[in-house]
Amino acid sequence: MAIEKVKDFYGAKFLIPYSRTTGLPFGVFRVLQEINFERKVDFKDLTGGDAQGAWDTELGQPENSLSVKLKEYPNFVFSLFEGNTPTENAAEAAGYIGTPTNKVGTSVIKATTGIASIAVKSAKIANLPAGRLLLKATAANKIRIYLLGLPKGDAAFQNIGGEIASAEITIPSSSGTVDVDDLGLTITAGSGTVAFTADDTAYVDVRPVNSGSMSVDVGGVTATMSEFGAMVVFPQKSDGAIFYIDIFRVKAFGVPWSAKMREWSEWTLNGKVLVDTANSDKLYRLCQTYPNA
Amino acid sequence: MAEKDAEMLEKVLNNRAVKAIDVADNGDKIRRPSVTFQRPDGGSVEVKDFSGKKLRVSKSIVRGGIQQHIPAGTGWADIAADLKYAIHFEDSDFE
Repeated sequence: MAIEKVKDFYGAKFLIPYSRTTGLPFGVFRVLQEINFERKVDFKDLTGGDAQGAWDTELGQPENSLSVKLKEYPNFVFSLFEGNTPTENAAEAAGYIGTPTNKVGTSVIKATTGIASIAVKSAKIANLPAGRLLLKATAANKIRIYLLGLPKGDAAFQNIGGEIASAEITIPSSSGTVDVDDLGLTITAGSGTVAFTADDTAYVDVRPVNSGSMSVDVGGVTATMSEFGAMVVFPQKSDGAIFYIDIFRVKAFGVPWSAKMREWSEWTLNGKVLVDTANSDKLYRLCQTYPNA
Repeated sequence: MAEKDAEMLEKVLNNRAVKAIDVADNGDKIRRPSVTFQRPDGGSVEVKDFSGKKLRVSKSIVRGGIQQHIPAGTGWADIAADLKYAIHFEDSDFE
C-alpha cells in the first residue's frame, strides 16, 4: 500500500459569495490576493498555589473571522458589504448630459433669462468630459466653466482653479446658442434677455461615450449589510486534486479603496464567520476531490 | 468622405446653391436636404444648405480660447465658411 499523498491547498482561484436565502451567487471574485480564515480562542488556565504550570485549561470564547484581500470592485460588493445598491446605466453612444441644476442662486439655469438647456455637440463628442461641470456666472451674460472630473479629447484644465473652458463665455440672449467645442457642448440660452446674477452657480453631470456606467452612493443610516455564504475555490492542482470550502454564514462590512501612484487599488474585506444554525451550528465544510490517478 | 459629398460641402461652404439630387429606390428624384460627414474621431458633422435664409437666433462658438459670434439676423451667405462647418445649424435657427 502506497503512502498517502501530502494534502495542502495551493493558490486561490475564486471567492463566490452567495445568498443564504436563494443559494444563488451574488458574483464571482477573480482578482484575489489572499484569503485568510482565522479561528482564535483564549485558553482559560486554572492556576493557583505553587505549581510549575496550569492545573487545567479550558477554551474561552472562539472568534472566527474571514479576511480577503482583493483587487477588484464588482458592483455587487457595494450592495453586499455597504448596503447600498448601485445604479447601472446602459451604454451611451451619444454621451450623457444630466439635468442642469442651480447650485447657488437661481439665475444660471432658467428657461427665460438664463441657460435653457445644455446638449452634446455630436461633432465634438470626443471632447465631452467625465464628471461634473460647474458653471459660474461672472457677469449678466457671462459664465466660466469648471470641471470636477476627467477632461477628454481637446479639453484641458486652464488653470489650477479647475477652469476647463478656454475662455469666459458670453451667452447670447433670445434662445441663442454657444458651441463650446473643447467640451463637446452646445449651450442654449433662455427665450428672453439673459440676466445672470454674478457668482451664482449651477452644475451638470456629464459622461463621454461609453459602453455602460454605474454609480453608487455609499453610506447613509438606512444601509444594512446582509449575511451571506462564501464558497472559496482553489485552483485545480497539477496532480488533479480539487479543493473548495463552503463557509456557511458570514457578515462583512466596508469596501475600502486606495489611490496610489501607478498601483492597482487593493482592499481587504473583513468579515465575521458566524455559527450557522441551519447547518447544526457549524462554520464551514471543506471538500476535496482526489485525482483520478 | 465620398466625392459627391465633398463636392456638395464645397458648394455649401462657398455660398453656392446646392442642387444635389439623389435617386430614391422607387426611381423618384429627391433633393438631398443635407450632407452628413463622419469625422475620424467618431463624431458627425451635418452641413445643410440654408441659402436665402436669415438667422432667427444668435449663434456662437468657443474654440481655443476665442469666442466667435454670429448675431441674429445674419444671412446664410454672410456667415464665414469655417463657421458654417464648425457650428451646428438647425432649421429652427432660421427665420
